[in-house]
Amino acid sequence: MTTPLLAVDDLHVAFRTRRGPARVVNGLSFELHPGRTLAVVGESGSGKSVSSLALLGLLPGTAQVRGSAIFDGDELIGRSEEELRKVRGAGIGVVFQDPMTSLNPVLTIERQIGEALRAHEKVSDDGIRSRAAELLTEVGIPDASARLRAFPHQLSGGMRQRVMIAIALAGNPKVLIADEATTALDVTVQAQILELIERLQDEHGMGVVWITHDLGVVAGIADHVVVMYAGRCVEEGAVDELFGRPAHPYTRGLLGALPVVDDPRPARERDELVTMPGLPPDPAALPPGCAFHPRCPVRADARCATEPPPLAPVPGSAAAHRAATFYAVGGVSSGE
Amino acid sequence: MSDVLVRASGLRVHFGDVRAVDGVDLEVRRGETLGLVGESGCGKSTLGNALLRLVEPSDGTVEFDGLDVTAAGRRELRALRRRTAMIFQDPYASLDPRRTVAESIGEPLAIHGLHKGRTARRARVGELMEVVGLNPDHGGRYPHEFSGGQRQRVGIARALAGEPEFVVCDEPIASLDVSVQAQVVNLLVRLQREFGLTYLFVSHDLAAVRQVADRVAVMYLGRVVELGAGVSVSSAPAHPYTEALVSAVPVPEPTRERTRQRIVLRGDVPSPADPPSGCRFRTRCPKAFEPCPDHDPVLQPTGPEQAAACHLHGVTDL
Ligand SMILES: Nc1ncnc2c1ncn2[C@@H]1O[C@H](COP(=O)(O)OP(=O)(O)OP(=O)(O)O)[C@@H](O)[C@H]1O
Ligand SMILES: Nc1ncnc2c1ncn2[C@@H]1O[C@H](COP(=O)(O)OP(=O)(O)O)[C@@H](O)[C@H]1O
Ligand code: SF4
Ligand code: SF4
Ligand SMILES: [Mg+2]
Ligand SMILES: [Mg+2]
Repeated sequence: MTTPLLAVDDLHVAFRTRRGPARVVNGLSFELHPGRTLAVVGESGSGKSVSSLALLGLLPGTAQVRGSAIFDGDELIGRSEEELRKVRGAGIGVVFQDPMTSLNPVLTIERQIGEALRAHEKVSDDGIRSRAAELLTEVGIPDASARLRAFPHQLSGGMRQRVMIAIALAGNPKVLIADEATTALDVTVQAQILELIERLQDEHGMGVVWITHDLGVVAGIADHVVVMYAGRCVEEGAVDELFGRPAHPYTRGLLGALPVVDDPRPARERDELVTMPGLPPDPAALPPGCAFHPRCPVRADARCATEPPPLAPVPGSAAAHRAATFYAVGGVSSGE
Repeated sequence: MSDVLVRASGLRVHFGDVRAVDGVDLEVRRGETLGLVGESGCGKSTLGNALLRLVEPSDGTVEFDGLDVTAAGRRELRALRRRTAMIFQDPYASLDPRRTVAESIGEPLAIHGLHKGRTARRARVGELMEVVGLNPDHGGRYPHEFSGGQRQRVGIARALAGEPEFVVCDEPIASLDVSVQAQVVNLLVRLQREFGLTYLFVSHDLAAVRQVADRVAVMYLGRVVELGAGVSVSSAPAHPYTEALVSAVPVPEPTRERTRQRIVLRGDVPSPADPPSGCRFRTRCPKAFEPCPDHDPVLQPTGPEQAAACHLHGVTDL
């Protein structure tokens, strides 16, 4: 295997709060390779955004970050703001959920793309304009030179997200982190953006970290999937493996909770959706043992409530398929 | 008793130049769930609101159980308010943060003079909380003390308080987590069967709509462009827009999702203040042909229990 572009190892993030430390990320590890897409999935509050913000050094001062994240040979954790800003522009591009809050409402699109371009190359104003127009064309915005003069509110949601992608691409990043980048968009617009990202990835060979709660999107774009619960990776594996043979009771619950759009039965003949009782835990009061145990329908082992299950290979599966559970899959407990 | 509970005829709702709803004919049958899907801004919420007369139509009529709602006087309107209800997307915004949830749930009882007297009212509120899966002992708590899913249950209990016949659910699961969405979807379905409710289920999530809706209406730029049994609309769409919409819904199965043919529409939805001539979808339609710019298609039958507004099924004009 190639050396990873981005290797996150045992990342921890805790916030100081009035109620004590909120342990939001609890030992997350993953690797991203060039040209590949890693999907990070989980429900809201599972620590997806905080993990990516930690890599980018964008967390507030109340956050304590531990662990390691090697990007292209360099350690990111513990670097100064100044150094990280350079990395962000040139090495790692980011696209967030809500383009309206990440774009400056009073600046034209040209100014905003221009700033991103200036951050890592010396270019003349004319150079900037033509490069910005090129980027807009590249992300599929028609009539680019006219759009450069527009303000964010004059664009549709889908176009604003394309502008965000153009800004993220300004420094020719090796890694693109997309945090719920299509969540606020209609499915038809989402389809446009997914197509765009796939094309850009083919052309530039970027590694993509796709953060989402939408398992349908994951199924279509991911090579490798990390399922997060309470700040931990509870299961990971190649996309076919993970969807085909989910090992962790939480992953199974998530997949089972989804209605199937092309189930041929009419609504009245369908079974109820499978539900998991309860809610994800409060990061300031994590349960002992397996963080999922209060909701787990299996609770396979006496240790569930006392001992955190290690992330271990799923017996009988490909090596990269691992799960953190004492639940016996295929007759052998994967936590052994 | 007619099997149609709600009927919109030639319904228009314009906000200045914006033609949010622009000529809708639609029936909601007694006891059914009618799903309503379409892109943001196509007029779903406005249509739902107009059916409950929460906005004034600019043209056309709405009938509820045979009564012309658009011409109803104060008295009739009050009766309508009791027989109908709304469940909103954002349970946080739709509940008064300074009131206990028991007060919020009990408010419609007071307004409609139901279960008079404190003890009777308290008992009814407790009953409603139990029906939606909340602990009745938590009635004294405030909205912020509940999770999003629990707040949505409070919103549902409040909607049910007046024992409505028709409930508009406007994106009731959009702000909830996946595992909680399933809980709320199951609850809504159970309540409908138990109380014989009629639902308009507005959602941009076609998979969720298929789980609950008997029939599905698809909206585009203020119009219903396709209407039919849930199975037909999603497995054999008759309108090119529905086809694109269905194909854009990701399915959580990697092999299928990677190989599935997605129809990616070009461009943006035109402004509802200035819809295209002829067929409104023609600027983005991959199948547009010669009559489309000049003729405005009428919703016409394309099969049993299915209708579409598209010239591919025979050229028509409004
Ligand atoms: N009170 C209002 N005043 C002016 N314009 C309005 C008003 N309410 C809605 N609109 C406009 O009417 C159109 C339809 O809006 P509506 O809220 O019905 O869409 P929707 O289909 O429910 O969208 P979403 O999926 O985003 O909820 C939009 O262009 C919207 O901006
Ligand atoms: N600045 C902060 N201070 C305290 N807690 C925070 C802060 N930012 C995020 N959190 C908490 O961290 C947890 C994970 O958040 P996040 O990573 O945003 O979740 P998601 O998986 O939805 O992206 C949540 O419980 C959230 O409330
Ligand atoms: S470790 Fe135990 S409680 Fe946790 S997911 Fe596995 S079986 Fe369930
Ligand atoms: S009428 Fe024409 S433009 Fe409209 S949907 Fe049918 S084929 Fe497409
Ligand atoms: Mg997030
Ligand atoms: Mg709406």
